Amino acid sequence: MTAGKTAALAALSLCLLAAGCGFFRSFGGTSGERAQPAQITVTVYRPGQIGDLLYPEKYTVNRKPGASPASAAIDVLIGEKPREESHVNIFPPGVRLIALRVKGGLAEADFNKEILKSNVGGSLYEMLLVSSIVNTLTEFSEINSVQLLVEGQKIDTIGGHTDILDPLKRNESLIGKP
Amino acid sequence: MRLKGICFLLAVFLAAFNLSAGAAAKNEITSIRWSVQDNSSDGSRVVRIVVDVKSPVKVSSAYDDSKKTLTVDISGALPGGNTGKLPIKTDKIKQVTGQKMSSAGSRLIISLASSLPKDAYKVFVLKNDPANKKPDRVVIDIFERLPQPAGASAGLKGKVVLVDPGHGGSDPGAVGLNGTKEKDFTLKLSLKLRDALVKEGAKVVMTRTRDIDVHSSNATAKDELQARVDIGIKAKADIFVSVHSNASVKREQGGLSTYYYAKTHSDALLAESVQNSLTRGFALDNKGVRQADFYVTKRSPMPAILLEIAFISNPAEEKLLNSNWFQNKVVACIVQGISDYFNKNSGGGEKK
Repeated sequence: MTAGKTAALAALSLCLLAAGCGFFRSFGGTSGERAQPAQITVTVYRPGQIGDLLYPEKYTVNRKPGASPASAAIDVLIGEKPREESHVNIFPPGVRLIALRVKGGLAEADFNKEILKSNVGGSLYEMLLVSSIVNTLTEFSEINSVQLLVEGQKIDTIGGHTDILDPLKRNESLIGKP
Repeated sequence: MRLKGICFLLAVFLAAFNLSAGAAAKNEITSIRWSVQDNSSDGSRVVRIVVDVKSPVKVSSAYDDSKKTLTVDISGALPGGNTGKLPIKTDKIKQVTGQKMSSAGSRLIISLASSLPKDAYKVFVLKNDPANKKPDRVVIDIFERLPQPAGASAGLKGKVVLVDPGHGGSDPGAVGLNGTKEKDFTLKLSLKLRDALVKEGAKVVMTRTRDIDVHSSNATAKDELQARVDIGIKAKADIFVSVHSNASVKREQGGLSTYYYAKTHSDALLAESVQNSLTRGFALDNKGVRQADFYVTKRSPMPAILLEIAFISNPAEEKLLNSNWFQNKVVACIVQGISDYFNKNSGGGEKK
């Protein structure tokens, strides 16, 4: 056996072993944290040019230490300029995500009270604002529904129409075809 | 030599895994049956899937609306032969897949052709019944058509319609560039709608007939909206119709849309009937029927819609909203749409 062949076989067997262990670990439910990538790609939903539907936009952002990809997506939704010139960032200045907790498929997204200033009159933008958050968060497989909170409290509506007392589901009927 | 050692290690791992899985394979699924049951008295149709198991199991289920899948986990019974695609297919069910779970359990993934409204499925276990030779089993009921409220009949005559003029009093709603207030438009239109429905033999209950807050001027949004919902409940309304006009930061935005919350099949049917009638009558942009978590449609127990009639923020449409002929025509279209709904909901065809 040549030195080259031995090395190749050793490498192959190491791969097999690594794969086997990985399998075993995930079977046992104790899979360790993988090294986190420095950058992540998130999809956020924003109102488009026609103004009455939400359109997906993809961003690749630097991952902040300790921040989950889902909270990074909300930071992008609130804080970044739309990628498409015709799309709208509907959040008023000063809105901030205070905390995001995910448990058993439910995400609790807690915003500061600046979010209450987002009412432009009429139900459309209120609904789009709420659904942009819910649809952005439910892009993540671990999130099925979203409870919105303002300064830690459940509130009835942001602008008098959309009921946010209970957890909200993803709304596909508001997603436009790009 | 080193390679042999590694392979041996790997074999031991795999053998251990197989043994542990084999040891737990006492209880398993013996068969999966399904049927479609039509109930002519309430118009419902239920797909029932029955999973027979050898001994008692625990069951849990979760519905994911984004993927339109219902996942049923049966812990304590392995799938037996019931893995992969299972031969269950109906109008509502696209595919059922069986999987073996890691911890002596089975998973059924039910892919649906359309969204399941709230309460449109039930998953439960039944104990074995030796007298009838039935084993322990898991039952999954999926409503293809939900039961219709008793006494559903065609036509508007005798129907109780709750008409809710949006906003009012301290809450002007959206305001157009030329000063038109949403609360004034919704009241004018709703009063005309009341008169037209009464003419067709319906009983109409209004949440307000003047420029007032329904609850009180300093009420929370919840109290104000719940006060409107309560009026519909007290009146035992057959349907709830909330009248609004839309607003956008984009002035060119315009059109008609109807919103509902998918409590029952009837909510969508009511929304479609009225939206179709409106868009047949007008050349305005058809923004379609949409689902939303609006308080009044979500919390009203009867089928409910929220109409967004044109955009008050669009100067051309603001003018329309103030014109008598537009209001009259909108009213005629809504009445036709509601009538279509009652005819379809009673199981009948279109009424001439």
